[in-house]
Amino acid sequence: MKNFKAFVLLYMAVLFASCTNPDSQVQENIKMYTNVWDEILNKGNIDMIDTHFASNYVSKTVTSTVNGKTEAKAYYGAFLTGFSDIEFVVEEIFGKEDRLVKRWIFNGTHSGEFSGIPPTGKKITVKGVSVARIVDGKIAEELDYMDDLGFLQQLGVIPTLGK
Amino acid sequence: MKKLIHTMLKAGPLFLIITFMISTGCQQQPDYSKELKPLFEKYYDVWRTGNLDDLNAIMDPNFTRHSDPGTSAEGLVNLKKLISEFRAIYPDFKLESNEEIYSENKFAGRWTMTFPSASAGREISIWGVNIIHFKNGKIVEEWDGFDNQSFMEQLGYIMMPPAAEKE
Repeated sequence: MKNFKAFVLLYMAVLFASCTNPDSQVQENIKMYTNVWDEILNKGNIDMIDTHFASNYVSKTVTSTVNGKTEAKAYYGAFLTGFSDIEFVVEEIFGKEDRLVKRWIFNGTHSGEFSGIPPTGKKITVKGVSVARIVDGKIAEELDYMDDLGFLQQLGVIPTLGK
Repeated sequence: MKKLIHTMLKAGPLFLIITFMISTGCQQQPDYSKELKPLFEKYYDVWRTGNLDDLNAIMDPNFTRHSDPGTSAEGLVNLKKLISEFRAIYPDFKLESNEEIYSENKFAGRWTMTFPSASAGREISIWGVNIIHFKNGKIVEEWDGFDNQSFMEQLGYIMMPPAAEKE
Protein backbone atom coordinates (compact mmCIF):
# COMPACT_ATOMS: atom_id res chain seq x y z
CA MET A 1 0.00 0.00 0.00
CA LYS A 2 2.91 2.31 0.74
CA ASN A 3 4.25 1.51 -2.72
CA PHE A 4 0.92 2.39 -4.21
CA LYS A 5 0.78 5.80 -2.54
CA ALA A 6 4.27 6.57 -3.77
CA PHE A 7 3.25 5.51 -7.24
CA VAL A 8 0.18 7.78 -7.24
CA LEU A 9 2.27 10.72 -6.09
CA LEU A 10 4.88 10.06 -8.75
CA TYR A 11 2.18 9.71 -11.38
CA MET A 12 0.66 13.07 -10.41
CA ALA A 13 4.06 14.73 -10.35
CA VAL A 14 4.83 13.52 -13.88
CA LEU A 15 1.47 14.76 -15.13
CA PHE A 16 1.97 18.18 -13.54
CA ALA A 17 5.48 18.51 -14.88
CA SER A 18 4.40 17.73 -18.43
CA CYS A 19 1.75 20.40 -18.10
CA THR A 20 3.49 23.64 -19.11
CA ASN A 21 0.98 26.39 -18.85
CA PRO A 22 1.35 28.65 -21.92
CA ASP A 23 -0.40 31.47 -20.13
CA SER A 24 2.15 31.60 -17.34
CA GLN A 25 4.89 31.81 -20.00
CA VAL A 26 3.15 34.85 -21.50
CA GLN A 27 2.84 36.40 -18.02
CA GLU A 28 6.54 35.85 -17.43
CA ASN A 29 7.40 37.43 -20.78
CA ILE A 30 5.18 40.42 -19.98
CA LYS A 31 6.97 40.93 -16.68
CA MET A 32 10.42 40.77 -18.28
CA TYR A 33 9.50 42.94 -21.29
CA THR A 34 7.82 45.65 -19.18
CA ASN A 35 10.74 45.76 -16.77
CA VAL A 36 13.41 45.95 -19.49
CA TRP A 37 11.79 48.97 -21.17
CA ASP A 38 11.11 50.63 -17.83
CA GLU A 39 14.82 50.28 -17.02
CA ILE A 40 16.00 51.53 -20.43
CA LEU A 41 13.73 54.53 -20.87
CA ASN A 42 12.67 55.59 -17.38
CA LYS A 43 15.94 54.80 -15.63
CA GLY A 44 18.32 55.31 -18.53
CA ASN A 45 19.79 51.84 -18.10
CA ILE A 46 20.74 51.23 -21.75
CA ASP A 47 22.90 48.23 -20.78
CA MET A 48 19.70 46.21 -20.33
CA ILE A 49 20.02 45.75 -24.11
CA ASP A 50 23.22 43.70 -23.54
CA THR A 51 21.56 41.38 -21.09
CA HIS A 52 17.97 41.10 -22.33
CA PHE A 53 18.09 41.45 -26.10
CA ALA A 54 18.84 38.44 -28.33
CA SER A 55 22.11 38.70 -30.28
CA ASN A 56 20.18 38.58 -33.56
CA TYR A 57 17.72 41.25 -32.37
CA VAL A 58 15.79 42.98 -35.15
CA SER A 59 13.57 46.01 -34.75
CA LYS A 60 11.53 47.55 -37.48
CA THR A 61 10.24 51.04 -36.89
CA VAL A 62 8.42 53.24 -39.35
CA THR A 63 11.60 55.06 -40.25
CA SER A 64 14.35 52.50 -39.82
CA THR A 65 15.45 48.95 -39.26
CA VAL A 66 17.70 48.17 -36.33
CA ASN A 67 19.89 45.05 -36.50
CA GLY A 68 21.67 43.62 -33.48
CA LYS A 69 22.44 44.96 -30.01
CA THR A 70 25.02 47.59 -31.06
CA GLU A 71 22.61 49.30 -33.44
CA ALA A 72 19.84 48.97 -30.85
CA LYS A 73 21.95 50.76 -28.25
CA ALA A 74 22.71 53.57 -30.70
CA TYR A 75 19.09 53.90 -31.83
CA TYR A 76 17.47 53.90 -28.39
CA GLY A 77 20.42 55.73 -26.83
CA ALA A 78 19.58 58.69 -29.10
CA PHE A 79 16.27 59.05 -27.22
CA LEU A 80 18.12 59.11 -23.91
CA THR A 81 20.53 61.86 -25.03
CA GLY A 82 17.83 63.79 -26.92
CA PHE A 83 15.28 63.84 -24.13
CA SER A 84 15.22 64.32 -20.38
CA ASP A 85 12.40 63.86 -17.83
CA ILE A 86 11.43 60.76 -19.80
CA GLU A 87 8.23 59.16 -18.67
CA PHE A 88 7.46 55.96 -20.55
CA VAL A 89 4.05 54.54 -19.64
CA VAL A 90 2.66 51.21 -20.82
CA GLU A 91 -1.09 51.66 -21.19
CA GLU A 92 -1.85 48.10 -22.15
CA ILE A 93 0.06 44.86 -22.68
CA PHE A 94 -1.03 41.38 -23.68
CA GLY A 95 0.32 38.38 -25.51
CA LYS A 96 -0.14 35.09 -27.25
CA GLU A 97 2.48 32.35 -27.38
CA ASP A 98 5.84 34.03 -28.07
CA ARG A 99 4.28 37.36 -29.11
CA LEU A 100 3.62 40.42 -26.97
CA VAL A 101 1.75 43.59 -27.82
CA LYS A 102 1.99 46.85 -25.93
CA ARG A 103 0.42 50.26 -26.29
CA TRP A 104 2.56 53.03 -24.84
CA ILE A 105 3.06 56.76 -24.31
CA PHE A 106 6.44 58.49 -24.29
CA ASN A 107 6.71 61.88 -22.57
CA GLY A 108 9.92 63.87 -22.48
CA THR A 109 11.63 67.23 -22.77
CA HIS A 110 13.68 67.81 -25.90
CA SER A 111 16.85 68.93 -24.11
CA GLY A 112 19.54 67.41 -26.35
CA GLU A 113 20.19 67.08 -30.06
CA PHE A 114 17.89 64.53 -31.61
CA SER A 115 17.95 63.32 -35.21
CA GLY A 116 19.94 66.42 -36.22
CA ILE A 117 17.52 68.78 -34.49
CA PRO A 118 19.13 71.00 -31.86
CA PRO A 119 17.42 71.04 -28.44
CA THR A 120 14.19 73.05 -28.42
CA GLY A 121 13.29 72.59 -24.76
CA LYS A 122 9.82 71.49 -25.88
CA LYS A 123 7.80 68.94 -23.96
CA ILE A 124 6.66 66.20 -26.30
CA THR A 125 4.19 63.34 -26.08
CA VAL A 126 4.24 60.41 -28.49
CA LYS A 127 1.97 57.40 -28.57
CA GLY A 128 2.83 54.07 -30.09
CA VAL A 129 2.21 50.37 -30.38
CA SER A 130 4.89 47.67 -30.30
CA VAL A 131 4.66 44.02 -31.26
CA ALA A 132 7.49 41.89 -29.88
CA ARG A 133 8.71 38.31 -30.12
CA ILE A 134 10.32 36.81 -27.05
CA VAL A 135 12.63 33.84 -27.57
CA ASP A 136 14.16 31.99 -24.59
CA GLY A 137 13.39 34.90 -22.26
CA LYS A 138 15.07 37.49 -24.51
CA ILE A 139 13.66 40.20 -26.75
CA ALA A 140 14.33 38.90 -30.26
CA GLU A 141 12.16 41.06 -32.46
CA GLU A 142 10.18 44.27 -32.22
CA LEU A 143 7.90 46.02 -34.60
CA ASP A 144 7.48 49.54 -33.38
CA TYR A 145 4.94 51.98 -34.58
CA MET A 146 4.83 55.49 -33.28
CA ASP A 147 3.23 58.66 -34.51
CA ASP A 148 6.45 59.83 -36.12
CA LEU A 149 4.98 62.72 -38.04
CA GLY A 150 3.21 64.09 -34.97
CA PHE A 151 6.46 63.57 -33.07
CA LEU A 152 8.56 65.53 -35.58
CA GLN A 153 5.93 68.26 -35.77
CA GLN A 154 6.13 68.69 -31.99
CA LEU A 155 9.87 69.25 -32.49
CA GLY A 156 9.07 71.94 -35.02
CA VAL A 157 9.62 69.95 -38.20
CA ILE A 158 7.36 71.12 -41.01
CA PRO A 159 6.45 68.82 -43.87
CA THR A 160 7.04 70.84 -47.01
CA LEU A 161 6.14 69.83 -50.53
CA GLY A 162 9.46 69.35 -52.32
CA LYS A 163 9.93 69.02 -56.02
CA MET B 1 4.63 -6.16 -7.54
CA LYS B 2 1.63 -8.38 -7.99
CA LYS B 3 0.06 -6.65 -5.06
CA LEU B 4 0.75 -3.25 -6.59
CA ILE B 5 -0.90 -4.21 -9.89
CA HIS B 6 -3.83 -5.62 -8.02
CA THR B 7 -4.29 -2.39 -6.05
CA MET B 8 -3.95 -0.32 -9.23
CA LEU B 9 -6.65 -2.30 -10.95
CA LYS B 10 -8.95 -1.70 -8.04
CA ALA B 11 -8.06 1.97 -8.07
CA GLY B 12 -8.55 2.31 -11.86
CA PRO B 13 -11.36 4.89 -11.66
CA LEU B 14 -9.27 6.97 -9.27
CA PHE B 15 -6.49 7.16 -11.85
CA LEU B 16 -8.94 8.21 -14.51
CA ILE B 17 -10.28 10.97 -12.27
CA ILE B 18 -6.80 12.24 -11.35
CA THR B 19 -5.71 12.22 -15.00
CA PHE B 20 -8.85 14.03 -16.08
CA MET B 21 -8.61 16.66 -13.36
CA ILE B 22 -4.97 17.45 -14.01
CA SER B 23 -5.30 17.57 -17.77
CA THR B 24 -8.29 19.92 -17.66
CA GLY B 25 -6.58 22.07 -15.04
CA CYS B 26 -3.63 22.13 -17.42
CA GLN B 27 -5.31 24.58 -19.70
CA GLN B 28 -4.06 25.47 -23.11
CA GLN B 29 -4.38 29.15 -23.91
CA PRO B 30 -7.78 29.11 -25.60
CA ASP B 31 -7.98 29.87 -29.30
CA TYR B 32 -9.69 33.27 -29.32
CA SER B 33 -9.27 33.63 -33.08
CA LYS B 34 -12.32 31.42 -33.69
CA GLU B 35 -14.57 34.00 -32.11
CA LEU B 36 -12.73 37.21 -33.04
CA LYS B 37 -11.22 36.63 -36.50
CA PRO B 38 -14.58 36.72 -38.35
CA LEU B 39 -15.37 40.10 -36.73
CA PHE B 40 -11.96 41.49 -37.59
CA GLU B 41 -12.17 40.26 -41.20
CA LYS B 42 -15.62 41.72 -41.69
CA TYR B 43 -14.35 45.07 -40.36
CA TYR B 44 -11.42 45.14 -42.81
CA ASP B 45 -13.74 44.06 -45.61
CA VAL B 46 -15.84 47.17 -45.03
CA TRP B 47 -12.74 49.34 -45.52
CA ARG B 48 -12.14 47.42 -48.76
CA THR B 49 -15.71 47.35 -50.11
CA GLY B 50 -17.34 50.40 -48.58
CA ASN B 51 -20.42 48.34 -47.59
CA LEU B 52 -21.01 50.45 -44.51
CA ASP B 53 -24.20 48.63 -43.47
CA ASP B 54 -22.12 45.54 -42.73
CA LEU B 55 -20.71 47.45 -39.76
CA ASN B 56 -24.05 47.44 -37.91
CA ALA B 57 -23.76 43.77 -36.95
CA ILE B 58 -20.15 43.87 -35.77
CA MET B 59 -19.55 47.30 -34.20
CA ASP B 60 -20.66 48.66 -30.87
CA PRO B 61 -22.60 51.92 -31.49
CA ASN B 62 -20.15 53.71 -29.17
CA PHE B 63 -17.12 52.43 -31.07
CA THR B 64 -14.08 54.73 -30.82
CA ARG B 65 -11.11 54.75 -33.15
CA HIS B 66 -7.91 56.42 -31.92
CA SER B 67 -5.49 57.34 -34.66
CA ASP B 68 -3.95 60.48 -36.07
CA PRO B 69 -6.34 63.46 -36.13
CA GLY B 70 -7.35 62.78 -39.74
CA THR B 71 -8.43 59.19 -39.25
CA SER B 72 -9.89 59.07 -35.74
CA ALA B 73 -13.60 58.58 -35.16
CA GLU B 74 -15.94 58.62 -32.19
CA GLY B 75 -19.14 56.64 -32.59
CA LEU B 76 -20.25 54.29 -35.34
CA VAL B 77 -21.84 57.12 -37.34
CA ASN B 78 -18.52 58.95 -37.53
CA LEU B 79 -16.65 55.77 -38.41
CA LYS B 80 -18.94 55.28 -41.39
CA LYS B 81 -18.32 58.89 -42.40
CA LEU B 82 -14.57 58.41 -42.07
CA ILE B 83 -14.51 55.22 -44.17
CA SER B 84 -16.62 56.72 -46.95
CA GLU B 85 -14.52 59.91 -47.01
CA PHE B 86 -11.30 57.91 -47.01
CA ARG B 87 -12.57 55.74 -49.85
CA ALA B 88 -13.55 58.85 -51.81
CA ILE B 89 -10.01 60.26 -51.57
CA TYR B 90 -8.25 56.91 -52.14
CA PRO B 91 -10.63 54.80 -54.22
CA ASP B 92 -8.07 52.24 -55.42
CA PHE B 93 -6.28 51.21 -52.27
CA LYS B 94 -5.48 47.64 -51.31
CA LEU B 95 -5.55 46.66 -47.66
CA GLU B 96 -3.72 43.56 -46.52
CA SER B 97 -3.44 41.99 -43.08
CA ASN B 98 0.13 40.76 -42.47
CA GLU B 99 0.03 39.56 -38.91
CA GLU B 100 -2.78 38.78 -36.47
CA ILE B 101 -2.53 38.08 -32.75
CA TYR B 102 -5.69 37.15 -30.85
CA SER B 103 -6.05 37.26 -27.09
CA GLU B 104 -9.08 37.37 -24.81
CA ASN B 105 -11.32 40.08 -26.31
CA LYS B 106 -8.24 41.66 -27.88
CA PHE B 107 -6.58 41.71 -31.23
CA ALA B 108 -3.28 43.14 -32.42
CA GLY B 109 -2.05 43.17 -35.97
CA ARG B 110 0.09 44.67 -38.66
CA TRP B 111 -1.34 45.79 -41.96
CA THR B 112 -0.12 47.16 -45.27
CA MET B 113 -1.98 49.53 -47.53
CA THR B 114 -0.94 50.24 -51.09
CA PHE B 115 -2.31 52.82 -53.47
CA PRO B 116 -1.47 53.96 -56.94
CA SER B 117 -0.47 57.61 -56.88
CA ALA B 118 -0.60 59.79 -59.95
CA SER B 119 1.45 62.57 -58.36
CA ALA B 120 4.18 60.19 -57.23
CA GLY B 121 3.94 58.30 -60.53
CA ARG B 122 4.10 54.93 -58.77
CA GLU B 123 2.52 52.81 -56.10
CA ILE B 124 2.69 54.11 -52.54
CA SER B 125 2.82 51.68 -49.65
CA ILE B 126 2.40 52.26 -45.92
CA TRP B 127 2.15 49.94 -42.95
CA GLY B 128 0.70 50.24 -39.51
CA VAL B 129 0.02 48.43 -36.29
CA ASN B 130 -3.35 48.32 -34.59
CA ILE B 131 -5.03 47.02 -31.47
CA ILE B 132 -8.74 46.22 -31.36
CA HIS B 133 -10.87 45.60 -28.26
CA PHE B 134 -14.03 43.48 -28.33
CA LYS B 135 -16.94 43.44 -25.91
CA ASN B 136 -19.98 41.16 -26.04
CA GLY B 137 -19.09 39.99 -29.52
CA LYS B 138 -18.73 43.50 -30.94
CA ILE B 139 -15.76 45.73 -31.80
CA VAL B 140 -15.70 48.59 -29.25
CA GLU B 141 -12.36 50.34 -29.60
CA GLU B 142 -9.38 50.56 -31.92
CA TRP B 143 -5.95 52.13 -31.74
CA ASP B 144 -4.32 52.43 -35.12
CA GLY B 145 -0.96 53.88 -36.02
CA PHE B 146 0.64 54.11 -39.40
CA ASP B 147 3.63 55.50 -41.12
CA ASN B 148 2.52 59.08 -41.79
CA GLN B 149 6.00 60.47 -42.31
CA SER B 150 6.93 57.92 -44.92
CA PHE B 151 3.49 58.36 -46.49
CA MET B 152 4.07 62.11 -46.90
CA GLU B 153 7.62 61.57 -48.12
CA GLN B 154 6.37 59.13 -50.75
CA LEU B 155 3.88 61.80 -51.79
CA GLY B 156 6.82 64.16 -52.34
CA TYR B 157 7.00 66.05 -49.05
CA ILE B 158 10.30 66.70 -47.37
CA MET B 159 10.70 67.12 -43.62
CA MET B 160 12.11 70.58 -42.90
CA PRO B 161 13.84 70.69 -39.52
CA PRO B 162 13.35 73.88 -37.47
CA ALA B 163 17.07 74.70 -37.82
CA ALA B 164 16.66 75.02 -41.58
CA GLU B 165 14.07 77.78 -41.11
CA LYS B 166 16.60 80.10 -39.52
CA GLU B 167 19.11 79.80 -42.33
